[in-house]
Amino acid sequence: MIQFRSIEFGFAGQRLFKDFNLNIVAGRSTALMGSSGSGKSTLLRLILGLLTPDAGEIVVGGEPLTADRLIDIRRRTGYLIQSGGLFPHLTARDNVTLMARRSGWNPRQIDQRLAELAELTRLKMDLLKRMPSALSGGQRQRVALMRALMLDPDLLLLDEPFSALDPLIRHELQDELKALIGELNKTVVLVSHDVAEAAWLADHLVLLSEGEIIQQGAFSVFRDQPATPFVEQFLAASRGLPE
Amino acid sequence: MSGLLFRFVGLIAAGLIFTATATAGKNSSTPVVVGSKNFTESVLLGELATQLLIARGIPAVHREALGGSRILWNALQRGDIDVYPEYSGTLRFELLANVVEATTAPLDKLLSGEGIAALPPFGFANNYAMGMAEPRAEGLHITRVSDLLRHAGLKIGVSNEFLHRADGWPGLKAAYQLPQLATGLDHDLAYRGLVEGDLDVIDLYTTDAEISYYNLRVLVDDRSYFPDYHALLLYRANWAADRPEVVGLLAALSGQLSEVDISRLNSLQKLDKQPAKEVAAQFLENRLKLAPADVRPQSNLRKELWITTSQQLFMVGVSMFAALLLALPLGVLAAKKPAIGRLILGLTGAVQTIPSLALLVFMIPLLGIGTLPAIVALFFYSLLPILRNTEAGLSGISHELQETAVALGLSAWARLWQIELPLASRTILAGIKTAAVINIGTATLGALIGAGGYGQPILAGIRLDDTGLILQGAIPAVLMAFVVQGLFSMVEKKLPASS
Repeated sequence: MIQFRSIEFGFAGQRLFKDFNLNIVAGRSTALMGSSGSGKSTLLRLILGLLTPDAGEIVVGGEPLTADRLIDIRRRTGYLIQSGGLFPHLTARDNVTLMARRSGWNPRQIDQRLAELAELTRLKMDLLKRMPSALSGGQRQRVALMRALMLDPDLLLLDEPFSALDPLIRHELQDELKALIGELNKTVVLVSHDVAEAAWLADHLVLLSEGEIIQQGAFSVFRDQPATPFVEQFLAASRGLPE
Repeated sequence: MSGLLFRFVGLIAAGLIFTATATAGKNSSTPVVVGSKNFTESVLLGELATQLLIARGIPAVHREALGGSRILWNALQRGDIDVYPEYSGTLRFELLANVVEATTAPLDKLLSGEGIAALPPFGFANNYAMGMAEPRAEGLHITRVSDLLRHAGLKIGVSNEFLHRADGWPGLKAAYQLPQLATGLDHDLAYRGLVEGDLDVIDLYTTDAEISYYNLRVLVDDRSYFPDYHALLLYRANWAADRPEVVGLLAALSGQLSEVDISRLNSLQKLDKQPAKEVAAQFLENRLKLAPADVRPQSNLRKELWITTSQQLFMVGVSMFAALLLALPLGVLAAKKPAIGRLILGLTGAVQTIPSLALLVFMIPLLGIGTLPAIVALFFYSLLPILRNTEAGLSGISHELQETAVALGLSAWARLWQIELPLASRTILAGIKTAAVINIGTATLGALIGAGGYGQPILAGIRLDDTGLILQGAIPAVLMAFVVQGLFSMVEKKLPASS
């Protein structure tokens, strides 16, 4: 689905990625893990063209990512960030349906899709009338998830989607997202600093440190054959891991 | 509301017609436009010329109290006015000061070089002089200008024009080696300063009615610094070629006014509060046996308020609208391209620092006098607040929301209209509100160049020492600013909170 090939990238003279290569497989959920500054969120923003690599090539859907494909790729990608990124001047409903309305969907299609998504994300429909400021943090993230899913994207990019929420809501939403991923059969890339969350939601884990891949594979591989002491430390930093 | 709109359209139409007739070839049906400066005597002389022509069957209008010498001179040369009263000293030492032999050559010769001609003088000279309150002068034993040398601590206040004129304060200070510094203020206010003891010495016009009224001592110009200022009517030479009959009629005023006459007429206006129109009509009736013109006040307070309000609204409305059309897109550009933005903001900031009166005067050689130059000046003043707030509002949107809008797949245009402008709208509106309030205040200065508005009663009130008249302009101007501010606040509440 997505290949990073020999990517070079840096911020303000500071080199982050040097000859970076990664293959993200379609139809599977991949978690990018690492501490802050490891470059995991940067990879998502490179996929969306929010940042441009200094050298190398990003291939999306078999073709190189070029400027003229960006708008199309963005519309076929659902992107969810930690703060939700809901526009404060639009109602929850208008946030969710913004792109559908601009893509010429008719009202009946829109209503139908909203009902599906509300059920999927377990959000009460009448909350959609509210402005984002009148919703709780958990409700806002559900609305933001609905917006990411509205156009039924092939690819879902989730950048620490639940880390701003309190633990109860976070667990609830993690469970729901897991069910949803299983149901939708989409390509998902999840960015997380939480090993438990990554292991719970993703089939394939990638551990990054300062722009380099330290280890990748299923969680069992990490647990049974940690590649470096850093991997052991990173795993040990989390508690209550699944067997 | 639609009634208001109709009046506006009417005003625009009237403006266009005025411009059209002003530029069309002069024929006997085109009204003669008489101008006058913003002080009592000049308004009276302008009124005499206007009423004389009307009484002789020549259509004439008086654009009274337009401002200072430079404004009138430029307006005459441009053809915005045809005739106005000027003083020989002002011509020699101020308006034509950079012409060779300005102080010695015959005046007619000097003027013809500029395409201007003058009628023989009215008959009186209104010279500059320095004056003091009698008791104060007596106490300090001051009778001559050179006596001022002995009292370096005296507070001297002079009219703004005098402060800067070549034949005014700078020359006087040099000629007498005066140690004092002078401050500039409005001439009519200077008398109050003198009477109330805030000032010791002011400049005078020797025909001012206040000299005897306030019992002032006119200091002897013992080094003969001040030249003579004979009052005369100026007109454009090429205009006179088309209207020789008008020039012939105006010549009837030459030699008709002595110093005693003009002081009495000034006194009737300033001290007895008689309108210039009535004073002029009485004089023409007595001296030239002209049938008295109908000078009863033709308008009442309500009508005058309506006229000044619509003039003010027209100036503010058109200049604000034009400023919005330019400043909003420029503000967007400045936010999107910070390098260009710094340049744009720097330029508009520089325009903002030009004093409003100076900007108005700069406009005259290009655009003449009246509503148009005032609107252009107001337009420039309204740009910066709108531009700066548009830029700030857009740049202030959180990086996260800007990126989210991009990531959703919105085009740049859709992002601007659907996301960025709505999020910046409160800040932008605040800029528009600031611009509007500044605009309303500055628009009152438009009266100095004949644009009317609330400034007209304010300036007339200052000139005639009439508080009621000042308030007739000041109160509505303040109310208009309040109403505008209130309307904006109402709209603001309906806008989304900024991010």
